[in-house]
Amino acid sequence: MDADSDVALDILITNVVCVFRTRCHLNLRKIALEGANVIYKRDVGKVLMKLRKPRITATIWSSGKVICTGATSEEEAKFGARRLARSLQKLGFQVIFTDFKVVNVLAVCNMPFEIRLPEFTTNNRPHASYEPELHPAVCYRIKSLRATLQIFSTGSITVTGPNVKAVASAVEQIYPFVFESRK
Amino acid sequence: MAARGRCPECGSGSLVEDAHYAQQQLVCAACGCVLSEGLLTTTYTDEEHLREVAYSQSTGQKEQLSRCLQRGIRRVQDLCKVLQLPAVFEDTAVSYFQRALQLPAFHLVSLEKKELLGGCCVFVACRQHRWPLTMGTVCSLLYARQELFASVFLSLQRELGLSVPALSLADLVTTHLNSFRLVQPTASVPAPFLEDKEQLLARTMAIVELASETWLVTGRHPVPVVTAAAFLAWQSLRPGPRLCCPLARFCRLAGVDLPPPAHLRLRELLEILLGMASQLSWLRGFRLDKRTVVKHIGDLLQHRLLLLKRAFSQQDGQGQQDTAPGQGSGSQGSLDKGSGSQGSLDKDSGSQGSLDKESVSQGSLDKDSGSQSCPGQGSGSQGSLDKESGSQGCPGQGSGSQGSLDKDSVSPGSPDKDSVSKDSPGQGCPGQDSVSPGSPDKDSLDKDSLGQDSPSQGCPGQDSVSQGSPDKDSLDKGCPSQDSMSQGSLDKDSPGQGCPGQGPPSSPAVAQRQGCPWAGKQQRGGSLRPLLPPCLIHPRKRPRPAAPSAPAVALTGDEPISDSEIEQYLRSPEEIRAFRKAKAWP
Repeated sequence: MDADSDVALDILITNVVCVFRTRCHLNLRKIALEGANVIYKRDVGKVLMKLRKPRITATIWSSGKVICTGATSEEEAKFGARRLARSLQKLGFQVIFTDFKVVNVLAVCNMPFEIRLPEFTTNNRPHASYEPELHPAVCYRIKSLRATLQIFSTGSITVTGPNVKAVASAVEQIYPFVFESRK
Repeated sequence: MAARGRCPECGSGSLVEDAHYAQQQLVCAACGCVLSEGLLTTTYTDEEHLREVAYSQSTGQKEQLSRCLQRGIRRVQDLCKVLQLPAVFEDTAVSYFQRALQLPAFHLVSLEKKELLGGCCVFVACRQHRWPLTMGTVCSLLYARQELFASVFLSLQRELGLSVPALSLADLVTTHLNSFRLVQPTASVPAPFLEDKEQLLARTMAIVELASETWLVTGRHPVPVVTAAAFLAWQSLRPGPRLCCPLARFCRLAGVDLPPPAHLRLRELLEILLGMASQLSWLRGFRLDKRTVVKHIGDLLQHRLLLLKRAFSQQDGQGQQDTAPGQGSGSQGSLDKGSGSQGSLDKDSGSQGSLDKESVSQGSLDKDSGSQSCPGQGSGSQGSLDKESGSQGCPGQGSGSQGSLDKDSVSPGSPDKDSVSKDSPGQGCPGQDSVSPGSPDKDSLDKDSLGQDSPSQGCPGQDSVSQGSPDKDSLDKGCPSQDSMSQGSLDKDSPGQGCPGQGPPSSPAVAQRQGCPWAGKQQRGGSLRPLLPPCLIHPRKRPRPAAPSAPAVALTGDEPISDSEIEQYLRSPEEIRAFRKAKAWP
């Protein structure tokens, strides 16, 4: 198989983390009392609220900053965040949905071949770091995309990046290198 | 100089300003009388006024190292001395440490981390000079937690931009084995357990290389692999008294720690060795288990490249031999040919399919090579007369070849092997099996065909058959004799193992009879496994759900949200009251 030919690789997005602000102070006790599906962590000062659809877990601070994790796409993350803001509105807070930003995207991709990790590391010296005593995978950083890839010998690759586009281009960039060191 | 005033004693006017050590004095030059003296000591405030440059701005400050740095450098030097490293390493480590401490990332760091930083610098210096020092060793010397050491190491690598080459396994094996008490003659270890260092080292290296070729080393911690390999090597050098010694006891005797993954590595190595052993022609008849295969490790290592190729399918095409016509049982075909079998019954030539190359190389006369279909191929190669091997399916051949082959090889004990082999063919294609026995194979590694790990399925019977077991059918019956016969009883335990009694022992035979590829496939699937990392072969996790190709409704994220959807996330007033009462919040 030629490395340049188009290979349809399934990139499965497993997690999208986003943040937004509500521009108002939130009373965590009130949320814990009147909201359903919430967990109040008083010692740390945050409330965890879980939405069912889309399946999202939100961490709410009293300053009004909210972090949502668990979405499987950027749109779903935005939808879930808006739902959350809406439920906070219903609880009586003057919520304004602002500063929504996708912070991190975690995706998994499977190569159809196994990869020889020591060979891959020597060929990609500065970017790739392989310490079998610490972790079974090679850690490859792409500075330009601010993406990190973890490449396992089974051909499975875990990518984290700032958005879905960066993740996709990271996989595209890594494919020829990984193809060189395949079994 | 002109003095002021006159000496009170002699009245002369010649007064001289002199210094007696550090003390200024006004002395009369004529009589030596001291008129006045300066202060012997000055106060701090006086001195301050005298100073031109503040100490912090003078160059003296830079020349002197800070206390933290001094302590750190001393720790690094102590560490190098404990590890008995050459002086070059010490200099390198100290220079890295100094550079690191100047970076802002390591300024306001806890003392524990600074100490670990010293250890990391030594570790990096060793790695760069190809000295096999493991993180575990450094952590134990510094009484540090592995996670913290790992994070300090990674940040050091990032900050200083160091390129740290990988740990070389060969050096690690050498160093690790040197620390074993079993190789030192003065140890308080029972005599049968002592071992010569060179031999143990050579064999352990071979086993470690085998492990690295079969995906057992990639991604795994190297030390448990080395420990398991050393254990197998030690056992195999003198199996008699050592087979009953478990891994834990071995580590205690050797005076090393037993790393927890070593048991898993040992199991994986044994699995690979068993797979290889099933391809070894003179072992086919025996049903080896993980203890008995240890005795044959020497042979297996000698022919490991060949055996690996035969035992494990590199691509999926390998067992497809069902084409072999004779074989009916496809299985044979597949097994034997190793895929190469072009199915040509013919012995020789075709055979070489893929695996048979070896047979060819062996100078098999070939017919057997043709054996691709016949498991016997292996035999052919033996350079034996073998010819019959070619018997791909022709029972007759098997016998024929066996006759020739057997004499030499098989002879070990069963004269009737030949005969036996003959009958094996009887079963339909079974001839192949018989063929195999014909192969004297001791020399030849043999073709694998049926052999594939007897343990894997009842198929071992075939092996035994090949060995010249009286016949496949009997195999099922569990005739142990075959095994013994074949190898001249190489394996005591194998006898009886040959008898397929296992599982579908009859399947191979049956398959042969029916010639249905199904049996072949079963065998193939069971015994000829692909050479993959073990986590792919025994997956523990549930596979991830496939990515949804496209959601039924493509989300944009800006859809309107209805109130009813939100209601589920709010408690009703009664619930709130009940909750408040329960929690007793003010």
